[in-house]
Amino acid sequence: MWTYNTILILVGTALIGACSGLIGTFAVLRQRSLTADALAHATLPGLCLALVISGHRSQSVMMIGATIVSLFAVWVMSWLTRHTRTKPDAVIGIVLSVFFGAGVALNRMIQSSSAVGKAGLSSFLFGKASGMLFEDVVVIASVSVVCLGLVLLLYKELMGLTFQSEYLQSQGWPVQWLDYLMMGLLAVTVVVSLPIVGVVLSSALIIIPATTANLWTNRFSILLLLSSTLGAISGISGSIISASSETPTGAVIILIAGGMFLVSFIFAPEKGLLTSWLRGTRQSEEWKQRQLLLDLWTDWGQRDQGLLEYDRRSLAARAQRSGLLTLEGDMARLTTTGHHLANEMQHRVDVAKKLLDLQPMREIDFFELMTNDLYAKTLAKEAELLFQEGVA
Amino acid sequence: MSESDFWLILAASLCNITCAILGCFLVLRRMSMIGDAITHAVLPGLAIAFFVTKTIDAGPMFVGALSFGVLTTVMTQYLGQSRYIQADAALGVVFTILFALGVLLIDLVTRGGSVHLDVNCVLEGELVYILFDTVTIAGVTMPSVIPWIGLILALTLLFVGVFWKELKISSFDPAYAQAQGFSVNIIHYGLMLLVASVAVAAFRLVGSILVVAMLIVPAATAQLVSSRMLTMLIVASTVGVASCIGGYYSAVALDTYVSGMISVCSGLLYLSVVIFAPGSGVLARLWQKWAFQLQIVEDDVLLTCYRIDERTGDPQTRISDSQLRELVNLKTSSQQFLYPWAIRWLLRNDFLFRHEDGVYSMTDAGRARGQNLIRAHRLWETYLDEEFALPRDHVHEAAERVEHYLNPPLQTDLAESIRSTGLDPQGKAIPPEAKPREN
Repeated sequence: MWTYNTILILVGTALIGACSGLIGTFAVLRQRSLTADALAHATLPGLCLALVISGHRSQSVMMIGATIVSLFAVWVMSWLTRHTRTKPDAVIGIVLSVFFGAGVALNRMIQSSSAVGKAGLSSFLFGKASGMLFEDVVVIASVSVVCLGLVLLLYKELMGLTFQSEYLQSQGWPVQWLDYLMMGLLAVTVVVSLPIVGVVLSSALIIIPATTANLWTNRFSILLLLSSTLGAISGISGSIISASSETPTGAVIILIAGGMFLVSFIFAPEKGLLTSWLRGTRQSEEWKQRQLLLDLWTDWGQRDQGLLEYDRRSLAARAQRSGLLTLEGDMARLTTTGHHLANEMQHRVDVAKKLLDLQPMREIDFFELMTNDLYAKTLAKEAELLFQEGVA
Repeated sequence: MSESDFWLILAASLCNITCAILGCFLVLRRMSMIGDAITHAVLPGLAIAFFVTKTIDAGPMFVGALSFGVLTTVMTQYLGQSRYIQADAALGVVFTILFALGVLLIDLVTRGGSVHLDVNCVLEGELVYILFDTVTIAGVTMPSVIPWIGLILALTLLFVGVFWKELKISSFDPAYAQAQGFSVNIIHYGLMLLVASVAVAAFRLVGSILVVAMLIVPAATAQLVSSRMLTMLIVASTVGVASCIGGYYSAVALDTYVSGMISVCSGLLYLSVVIFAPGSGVLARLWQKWAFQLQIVEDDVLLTCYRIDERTGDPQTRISDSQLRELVNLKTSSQQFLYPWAIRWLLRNDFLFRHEDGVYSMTDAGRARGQNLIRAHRLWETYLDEEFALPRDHVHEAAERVEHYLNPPLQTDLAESIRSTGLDPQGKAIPPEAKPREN
């Protein structure tokens, strides 16, 4: 199985995945996912034009053509956004479909007119890993090295561009140039991935690994690392599966990346669906118990002990398990923890009511107030400041 | 025009009109890319329908595609609500995954078969194939897509007609629509369903990616030139039909795909509107900019002449062209370029008079205009001097720029608000407002 060709393909797809994941992180976080999609579609006319002009299927000439035309498309998008009333989303749609349409038409003309392009560029549309040559891997490797090198070299600058571009601009940084650089790297990355992933889906390799990785971590360096790793894994496994089953490589790679996204979206710690669902359930249970304590405290006239009504039994039993109160037949008694908690809740509600007296239009989330300690603390602090002002 | 030309153009045009009308609402609601996503994402629905029924009948495909269209909308909204996923990335993730799934499924189900559904058809569509699949309605034999698209168009028009007010309000002011208790969701999902339906029909004609050109480009073009909803819909439909006709004939001439040429044509129409649209087009704005520059140079010439007259005390002071040019103090190269045109305009409109020996002097009309400009200039200087603690030598520069914008009402306001009577900070007289002579 480990023939020379297989190793070439594995190395090539792994590098492409990693590089797309790396550069994609910046694109996704800067909300350029769909710009990347348009850029990828705009490579098609570039490939065709390069083929027409050079007259033969030279990989390097076609790559250069694709890069130039896709960067031109990026420029068109930013020009249209700045100088016309057309909104950014429509601009992306226009550039994407018109450039791609031109590519489709040109491709057909090449197929029917010239000898060199009888096959046309159909292999570029959905990608094919099996045709990879040593030179291709060299190109891919050098692009990856350049991308990685620039990211390491300009790590701080690019991080600033991603998270605080407006602030940096106000500080006189060359944000515009960093942006151009980022778009250039994006274009080059998309273009080298074209032969394997295809025009139509190469933007997916930019978007999906980065979005997936973002669900797992909050640290930028780890995010970059993880995104590249996920990209590489989808590249490798996708090319192996598609080669053994003779299915379109690009589609399989993207489906694997998509599968990883789905798993992450559900199971990722902290940001996953499951965690947030569990957290929500826990929070609402906590709220019910705390509300019960507060109600009992009020009903019993601010004493620790009293009669428990029948319809509160099951909730009270759960509160007993949490160690907030003890049940004694029809009676219930707050434990020390319960006592303190009830007092605390009473205090929070009092503060919120006072705050509402001062600012009737203010919105206070009582659910958050009773379950989220940080929210309560912030509100209490604010109330304190306001009261001081009121006294003064 | 042969009969087949007619049917092909008619099919494409009907499809494009439907797309253009729906596209207007997408563009106004800034949901263009959701249209893009839906047209991509109907693909697995088509493939599954084909897998189940083994035919490319419209009915099952329609159901398959519609369910995936709705699925995309729901999933995109759901993912987009997550705090940890950017809204545009959510869109990108959903439709690329579904599209990849569609590509894979089509590749699997069509293996070894000889049906007109292959992976390339996804991208390019094959308009001419519709001619092989005909029905006869009321004695007329037509491609079977025509009644289908006609039906979708009718449904679209019905939807737009019934929800006209709601569509308008929720497109321009979603918050207000929500507050008024409109069924925002019905409109949203109705729109999405129609987009998915037309995507299915258009898929066979132009391929799934180029539908986007039909949806968005005509609508965006119409948005540039119209400010009323109905006009926008009509213009968009016209642009759609025009790009279909242009696309069809240019594709025939160049021997290439109609779908690609339709999108290129609509792109060219959009571009020409961007360039030539009256008022907001590139050319119009360039013209406005130059016209304004020209007016500034004209003003500067009159101001200079007025100052010279003031200094010499002779209202008929003659000045040669080279002297005038030197004194006017042209700041930029575009102003230097415009100077001769400014002189020509002033002469033609009788603000300047050219004597036989080539020297200039101001006419009465020119003097009146110059007087108003100098009044604006000195009023502003005085105002700045009184209201702000600026050094005396700083106010001239500012007034130099503002003098062109101060119209008579503003001048009156200024004159009332300053304390100085009749003298500017340099001690020069502020002339009264000159009434231009009635001709």
